[in-house]
Amino acid sequence: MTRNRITLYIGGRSVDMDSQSFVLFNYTQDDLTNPAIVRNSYSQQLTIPATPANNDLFDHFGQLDRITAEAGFGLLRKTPFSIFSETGELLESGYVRMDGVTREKGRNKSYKVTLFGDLGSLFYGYAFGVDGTPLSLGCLTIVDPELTDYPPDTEIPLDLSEFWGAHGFTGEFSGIINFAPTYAGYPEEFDAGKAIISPNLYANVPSSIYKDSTRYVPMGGIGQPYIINFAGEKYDLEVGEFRAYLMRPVINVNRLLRSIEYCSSEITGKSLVIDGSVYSIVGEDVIWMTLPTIKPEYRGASITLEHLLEGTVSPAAFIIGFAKAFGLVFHTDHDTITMMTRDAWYSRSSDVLDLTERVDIGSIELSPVFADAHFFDFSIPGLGYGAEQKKKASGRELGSLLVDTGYIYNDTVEDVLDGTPFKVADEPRLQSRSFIVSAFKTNNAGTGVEEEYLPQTSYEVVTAHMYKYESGRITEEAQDLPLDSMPSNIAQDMYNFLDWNTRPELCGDDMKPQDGSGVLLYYNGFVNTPAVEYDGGDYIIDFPAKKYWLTVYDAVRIALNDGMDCWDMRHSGRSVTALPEFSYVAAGGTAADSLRMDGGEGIYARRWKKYITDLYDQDTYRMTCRVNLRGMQVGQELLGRFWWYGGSLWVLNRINNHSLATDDLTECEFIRIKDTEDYTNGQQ
Amino acid sequence: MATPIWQDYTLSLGTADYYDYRILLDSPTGEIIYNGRARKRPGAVSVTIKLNGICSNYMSNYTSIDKAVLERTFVVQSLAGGSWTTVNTVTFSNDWSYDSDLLVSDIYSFPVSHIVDRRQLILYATMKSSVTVNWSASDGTTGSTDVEVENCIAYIDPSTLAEDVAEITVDGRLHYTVTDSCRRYVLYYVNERGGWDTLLMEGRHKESDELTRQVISVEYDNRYNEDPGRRNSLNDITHKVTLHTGWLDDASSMLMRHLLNSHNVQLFDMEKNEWHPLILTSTTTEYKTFENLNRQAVFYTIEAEFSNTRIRK
Repeated sequence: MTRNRITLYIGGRSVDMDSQSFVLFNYTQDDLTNPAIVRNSYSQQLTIPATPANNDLFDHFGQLDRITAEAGFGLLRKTPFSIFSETGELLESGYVRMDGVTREKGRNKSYKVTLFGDLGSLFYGYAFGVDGTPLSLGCLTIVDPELTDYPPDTEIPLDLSEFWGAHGFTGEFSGIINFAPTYAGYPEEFDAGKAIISPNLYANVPSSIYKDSTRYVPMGGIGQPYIINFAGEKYDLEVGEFRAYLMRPVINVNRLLRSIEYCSSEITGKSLVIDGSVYSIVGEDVIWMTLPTIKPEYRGASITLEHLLEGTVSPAAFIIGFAKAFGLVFHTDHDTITMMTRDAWYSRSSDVLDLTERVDIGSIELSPVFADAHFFDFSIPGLGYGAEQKKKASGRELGSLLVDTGYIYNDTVEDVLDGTPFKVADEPRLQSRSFIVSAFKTNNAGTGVEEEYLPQTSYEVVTAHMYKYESGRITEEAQDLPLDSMPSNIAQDMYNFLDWNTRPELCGDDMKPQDGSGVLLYYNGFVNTPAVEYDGGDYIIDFPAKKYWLTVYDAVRIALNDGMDCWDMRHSGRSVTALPEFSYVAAGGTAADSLRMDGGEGIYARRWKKYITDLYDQDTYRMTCRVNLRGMQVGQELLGRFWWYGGSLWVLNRINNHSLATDDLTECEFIRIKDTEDYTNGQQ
Repeated sequence: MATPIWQDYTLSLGTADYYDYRILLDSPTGEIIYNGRARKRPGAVSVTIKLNGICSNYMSNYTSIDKAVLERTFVVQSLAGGSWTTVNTVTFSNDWSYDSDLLVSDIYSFPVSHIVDRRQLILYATMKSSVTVNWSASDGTTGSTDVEVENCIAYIDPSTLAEDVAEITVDGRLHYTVTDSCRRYVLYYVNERGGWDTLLMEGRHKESDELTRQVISVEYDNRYNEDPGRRNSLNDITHKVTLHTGWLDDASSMLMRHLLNSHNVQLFDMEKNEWHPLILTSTTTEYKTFENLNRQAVFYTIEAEFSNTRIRK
């Protein structure tokens, strides 16, 4: 086999490679059929022979009595790699992970490593510290905000008794008050003298509060949270009085993005640039992301933003979730990674490349795109005890729901939309406590009348917090429990709570799909359960969750978006507590305590009809072929470019097993498109 | 005295349940090449470790003809009371012969043939700092010269000794006859004990190229005959060579294993004065004798490929 001279360096040392150790690269563009998309960089597994030099490079990893020295190769240490061409050009760089070693006749035979390059190294660098410890958002330096403060007249100056009365309670102030600290409203000012009270916590919060003949209404309108300013008074935040620390504070997402961008080079070695097109989505308005409750060791002390960010997700997880939620893409250029909207990505270059001279026509295979689109797969990975239990019971991953589209060959889009309602594939029914979980939102009058919206479809449960709950109040410190260590009866309740039988329905009152103008939504957030009994008391369990749902209900759209397009939902300037609530109803019973859904981690929306249209376009071909890419810079840069071939336009979707070391042709996958502008518009 | 690297070398660290130990290169202040924690085997009195596996990685690096790795020293230390203490210092020889008769040998050259071409460089591997080369010419003159040893190799160029040198004796033990052969190729190779040897290819040779052609189908206009529908876009060429030794006696034949089992072989083209690294392609080494060949004269055929591939595009 021909060999162009490339050199792989690991930890700054060149690696002996044999003729089988081709370093092959895969680059993948968004899957056209997947509405929740983020482009992955490459990760490539490589087999490296156990030559003496390589054994020394890996500090004899795999020797049976080896221990990791303080310096040198260690499994948890981020070991950089780089690949140079013979002309000294840096072709790829990132981090190496050791996957395993093969031994034969008592000696190391080969090493299996995975190279994470470009985007992968960004995520890896933002997920683990240099010493291998997982990172949280607390590793960031939070940059200054660029927001306008809220007008001061939205703050209501009350002393505690006045607040107590305004809250609807009579008698002297006593007992326990639960409310959200100002961390929830003013991340730049963590002042114990300010608080937010949300109508989501209590049903009787008045629509306005009077003080000194001044009427104060909530920021954002009636039914929204109040900002209370305990003028001149300071209160102890310890257990027994204010439970402020039990509420989850929030941080402005815009500010978080800017901080991740700012810190990227220092923490990951890769420069991350967030394109202006992304900030345009977020806009000037406030989007909040919910943070975990304040850790016990920080309560009663001066609480800083860094304290709040400890124990959160890693910056990598945040970027990935955010990109998925908004359908963002990444453009890599070795040292610099740019996150941008798809529209901005495809607008980079309007030049169309000619495929004619480069393609081996003997290798062309065509397939229709929609051939495997009979089912929409809303799979999300399920983690934790509940998910494991579900998997054992049902034989499938939690959240792995296939929606039968009812597609029949040669149907038009309209046929599909007018046809059978979309239904979930059959799921095993729970044997005990079956919940129908519905969504409702407190209406504007604040009367608490529920309006059923739609059912959720799936949850991902990772960890849970338990709070002791008495007489409608949280009375005791929460235990932070991973699901697999929870008492079995609690876990069983959670298991039952995760109802598998809810069905996403894309239909109107006549149970027929509408004109496709409905909305496909994905949502991340926190949910907490109604009280469950444990250890002689009632506990509320609170866990992060992801949801998917489909709707054509006009009422839903209006209620969620104030009549705007769904992906403008976040532009309304609402705080997280104004987002929809969900309740569960025991079978045949009535609505129990509400389940709160807050957190603005990710709301991704796409017009249903556009989604169907893309999926069921009978003229959308997928073409795989071998292409001569010599003379072109092969990498993420090449994806998303438009090509001409056979009278049609194509977009390069995937590059498989491209070798930098040989002159072999490369297998590529193209998707036929009707029009470049049509392809880029409406992709967000 | 050096220990051959092929022979298992075990070391006792002590009678505790386990020891943290490390291996250093060359001296107690040398580079640390290994860290380990060894535990006592059930029923054993002490903790023992075996050093060959780790140390062999530092004996057998792929060297070029200006260097031979003959011996190397390793220091083993164990951790006691928070500080490292030297347990043992061992010197290994780069001996892969699996021959117990060579345990006390200081010989690192085992040439198969003592016939050399005047254009051929003789390599002599030794731990000495210099070797004495005695020579005699065809006109009867004689001489002696001391050749410096660098990186365990003495380089002896017959043409520099005398214009008409006919016989050479190296280090009082290896005797060579210098000829004006019409041969083209010489092989240089690392023998079983880590030294370099050389062998003049006295037999015939044959060369060939093996091609892998990359052919693709392309769009073309069939109105024009010169427009090809298929193109040979790339040729991948592996150059091969078949060499033959001269006639060998049984003793010389037994030394062919040093070449045929070698992992490092270089071809020298005496006509073009060029070096080419080779990969030997045979997977069987036959120990030929006059008797086991049914009383036929012994010679060997060596099949090899050039290491460096070539392309045409």
